[in-house]
Amino acid sequence: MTPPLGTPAELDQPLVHALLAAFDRSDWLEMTVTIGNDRLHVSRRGLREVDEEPEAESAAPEAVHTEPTHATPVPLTGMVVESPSVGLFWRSPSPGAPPFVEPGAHVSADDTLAIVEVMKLMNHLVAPAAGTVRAILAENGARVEYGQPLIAIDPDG
Amino acid sequence: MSGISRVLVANRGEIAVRILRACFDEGVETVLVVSDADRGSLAAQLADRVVCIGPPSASESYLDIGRVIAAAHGTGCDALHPGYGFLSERPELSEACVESGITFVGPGPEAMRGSGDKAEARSLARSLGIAVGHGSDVVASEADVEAAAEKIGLPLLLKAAGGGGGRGMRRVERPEDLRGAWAAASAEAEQAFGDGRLFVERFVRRARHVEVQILADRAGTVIHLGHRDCTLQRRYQKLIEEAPAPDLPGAVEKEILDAAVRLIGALGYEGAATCEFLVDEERGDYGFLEINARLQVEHPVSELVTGIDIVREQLRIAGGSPLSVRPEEVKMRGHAIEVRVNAESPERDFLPTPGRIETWAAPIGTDVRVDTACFPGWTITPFYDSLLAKIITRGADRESAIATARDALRRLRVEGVETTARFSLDVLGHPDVAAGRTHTRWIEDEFLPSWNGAGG
Repeated sequence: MTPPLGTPAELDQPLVHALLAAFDRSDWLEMTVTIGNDRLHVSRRGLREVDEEPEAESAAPEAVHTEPTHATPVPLTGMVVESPSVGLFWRSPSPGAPPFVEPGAHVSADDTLAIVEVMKLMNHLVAPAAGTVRAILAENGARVEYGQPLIAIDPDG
Repeated sequence: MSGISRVLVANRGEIAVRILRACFDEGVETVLVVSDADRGSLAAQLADRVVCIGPPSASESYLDIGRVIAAAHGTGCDALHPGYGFLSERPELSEACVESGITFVGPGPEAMRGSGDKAEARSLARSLGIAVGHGSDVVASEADVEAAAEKIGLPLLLKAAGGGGGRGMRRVERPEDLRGAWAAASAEAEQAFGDGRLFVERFVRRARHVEVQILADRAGTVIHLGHRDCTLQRRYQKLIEEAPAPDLPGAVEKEILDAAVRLIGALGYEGAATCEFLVDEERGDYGFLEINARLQVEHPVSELVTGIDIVREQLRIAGGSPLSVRPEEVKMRGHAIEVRVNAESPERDFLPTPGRIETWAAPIGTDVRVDTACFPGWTITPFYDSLLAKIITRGADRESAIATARDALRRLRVEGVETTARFSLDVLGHPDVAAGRTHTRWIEDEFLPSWNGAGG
């Protein structure tokens, strides 16, 4: 079921998996994502922490070490393309067509990544710079809000 | 029992809070749309759900019909309340709601077109035998405007046919200024409302602005909740309003109440409406000005003297219920005053003063109502209007309502932004206000030139 639009965004299971997969494929050392009251921190230095309420334990795959919560979050390296509007998130130009991009794809600046539809008006999300798509952060057809992170890109260079 | 269950509130600020309160009272769920600048607003904290629809710029958020409708769809709302300003008088929004199966809390697109177009509303009034201010129909060319001026005489006012708020409006005193003023006003109206049509009306030197609050339900019952006086304005922006309008000649009072009910009845209109009249103090007559097809900023003064909650009635009407009162049950009691407190600096020509509100403490009591979205720590952004709060007081008579309003203004504590509170306190303390010797340009022409803002 599509999460209802308007509830506070949270780190749910599919999003955590998408973020972890993106991290796995990346060459980042650490990643911290904060959405609403939830914070996900992942590190390659033998530290892993998932700070999610109310299921912090079950969601943490290997909680080897817990950092103090006041630790300064490490900014997400790379770029996140956010939704320009409230609307519906579409990964393809039309129903049944292949997605514009898949995780791992290389894109050039201004390549279309996805569409946010507002009342039949199609807003094209474009890559702000050349890079590699690390993660798609919303489901095809999901209702999204303005400012919601939708696509993570690791820029070239 | 309301026929609607979840309302999208398509507005911000104090009126969003006001609508949320009425929804709460009616037992209706609420979804609030916000721009990125309003995620932490008081209304956002009070709504059942919040949807961020766009960046701070109103044109990409509160003024974007597509985004507002998308938010209503996405949250399963079955009704939409537009508040005032923003999209509230756009027939396209009313129409988009009809097409989307969402109940618009307000008139249908046809009734809104008929009432919102000033020229059309005037034609209708004329056809019903209602006095219309000495003026022309739409003027479309320089030749037309000169012919109209010939007939009406100078000074005159050029006004936009497509909207209000002082935009597309020019006063012309001399014949040689006519053509230039027509071109400027028409261009301004085109830009503001997408409609460059103007009409001409006689300029009245001592005018009072009197309006009648109307409620009309689906069954065709039309009632009035008495009149309001909004004469205390500055550059056509209302600052202080009251109900009832004091000292109207008996004939004028009866005629405007009757005219307003007949006008709205003739439009097949559903919801709350206001009919505005200009009362000419010197001539002792009046003329119909326009219909506002929405809730108005100053609606609380009518609520305080009638005891009728206009926003709850709007929700009931939209849900298909009959009005909760019959015409003969509407009783006026006492007097009410509303003072708009704006984040503006009267000493600097009412320059807006956005900023962070460090201190906010407003007096509230049995006879003092404060409609606001302010709280300590909230930031007044430069993106929207400067209204901070409406302080509404009531008393057994006009004198005591004014005295209570002045007491409340003295006790309002705001730090962090400049406000118009001190200015309004002095306006209300002026002998001309106490005696009712004001007109729509009294603040600019008579009060401000001698006002000492420092209060010394």
